[in-house]
Amino acid sequence: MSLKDYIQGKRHGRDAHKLEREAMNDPFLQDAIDGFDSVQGNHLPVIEQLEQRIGKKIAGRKPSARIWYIAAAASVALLIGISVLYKPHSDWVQPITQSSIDNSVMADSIGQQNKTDSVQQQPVTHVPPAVIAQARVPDSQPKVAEELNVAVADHIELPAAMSDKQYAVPESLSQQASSAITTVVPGLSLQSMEKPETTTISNTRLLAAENPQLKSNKIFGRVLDESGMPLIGVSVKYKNEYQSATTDLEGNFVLPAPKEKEEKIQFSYIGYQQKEVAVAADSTVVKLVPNDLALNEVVVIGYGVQKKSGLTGAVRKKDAAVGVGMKMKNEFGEKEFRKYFNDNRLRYLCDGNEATVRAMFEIDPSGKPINIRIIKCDCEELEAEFLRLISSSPLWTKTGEKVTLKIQLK
Amino acid sequence: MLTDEELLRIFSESNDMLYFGELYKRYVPKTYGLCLKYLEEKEKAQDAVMDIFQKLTTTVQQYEVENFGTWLYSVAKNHCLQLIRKENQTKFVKIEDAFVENDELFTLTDKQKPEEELNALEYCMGTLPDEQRQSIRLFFYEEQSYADIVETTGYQLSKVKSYIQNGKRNLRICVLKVLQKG
Repeated sequence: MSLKDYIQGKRHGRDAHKLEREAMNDPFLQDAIDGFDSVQGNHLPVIEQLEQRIGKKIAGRKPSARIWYIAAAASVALLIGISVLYKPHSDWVQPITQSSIDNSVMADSIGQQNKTDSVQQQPVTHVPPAVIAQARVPDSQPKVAEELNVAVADHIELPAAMSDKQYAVPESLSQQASSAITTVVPGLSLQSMEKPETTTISNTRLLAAENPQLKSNKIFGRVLDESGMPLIGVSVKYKNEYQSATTDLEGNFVLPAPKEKEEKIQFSYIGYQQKEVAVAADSTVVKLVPNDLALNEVVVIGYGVQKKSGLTGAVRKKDAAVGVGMKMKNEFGEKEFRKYFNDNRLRYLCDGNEATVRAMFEIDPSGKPINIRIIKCDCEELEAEFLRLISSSPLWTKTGEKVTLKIQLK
Repeated sequence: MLTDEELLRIFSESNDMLYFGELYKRYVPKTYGLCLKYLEEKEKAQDAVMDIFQKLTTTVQQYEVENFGTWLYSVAKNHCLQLIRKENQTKFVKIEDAFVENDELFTLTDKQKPEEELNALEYCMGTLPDEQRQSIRLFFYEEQSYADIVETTGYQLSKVKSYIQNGKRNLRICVLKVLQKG
């Protein structure tokens, strides 16, 4: 039994006794009960009004932080826009204004909805009008801010995606990018070697065969498959040093001699198991073994890729529906989840009473809600139902974001 | 449902007022009741509830709070007592109200205590004044609520409360005496 029930007059029976007994060990509770008993009147509406005022206070605080976010997001968008695009283009300016208008319209309507909501929520008791007015106004603000926030975040993605398709990436940028790639994927480039061309590789190899003195500067080798045929384009690199090469048409490679004697050479090639060989002799012949696991046959189906083994049985309809639904709508957020929740929830919950659940969670990169925290819930059935559906919902589209969600049963 | 401490931890990590607001809302009934007790007027008590919230939002993160309820109790009570002092009112706070006795003694009914304690308790119950004995019996043994006891006995509610309180204290003193002697 809660204190609220108790002060409402439910004072008989075991539950009331339990609370009174609890109060004996909880001076806070005891003082509260004493207080309610010492002052005449129905205290419950006052308590509810106080709770609402607290709620509005929290809501009223949010906009300042949100506005800051918007400012930050907007400046980031501006920076990206300037650095990525050569020239401003009217095409992508337009969708922004378009969508921000949409959003502001949406936000307006949400704000209005909210107002009507809060009117309905007001208790029937007499409340000074000034208090209501003061409290109600800030409530709609954070929602507006939230919408705008989302809108700005969308714009960041927009120019980047469009620039990929429509405009040449500036040269400086692409150079940076490719140099980054060479460091990350050494097999793609032979920058670290003096002469990267294949002809010079075979030349030096010939030279090396004739002149053993050169051998100390370079490491030569050949990569073959399991049947002894040369493998072309195998990525060859040191385990710890920043030198790498790829094999030529005959499977040959050459690397500058390692600084460390203990260095190992790594060979990797798609469809073959990666192999590590200690640098021992000057020339090495390596045989790679196919990686059977990597060669499963795949079937491309309408909404994704599936292993062929998975298709011998029927494709489960639920997966397909989720996949197709996602691709077509292209969006799954709070609004969609509310609909999903209402379509799928148990019909009879919480004795048919009004109930609210408020939760906060994050969307992981794959779109799954994680770190779900129930902040408030009136009724355990609703909480359980919410948790069931949030964990079985389609993937969310706004990945990497924090979501606060309130669902009301009516 | 998150515990108070979890909410508080998330609040201090995220600095999101939402969490602290939810936490405080859980204690609004208690806090309001407490303020009613000390300030004796609804309006003053309501203002106090809001003021305490305001005060806490700026100070709560400076403390490492282990038990939010206990902490809030002392903060809220001090707030109210300060208000009373400011208004230069003389208010008498009954000392026995200020600290609530532990009801450890009455886990005796769970029959886990040694027999001599049970005997001592039984003996001491006999020494209590009638009203105290009856109230205690109904509350701890019959598990009736205060309101039930009022109905059963016809005593006033406030009387019932003080009978139980005083009876408990008398019992404790008596039981300790008997046990020491034995």
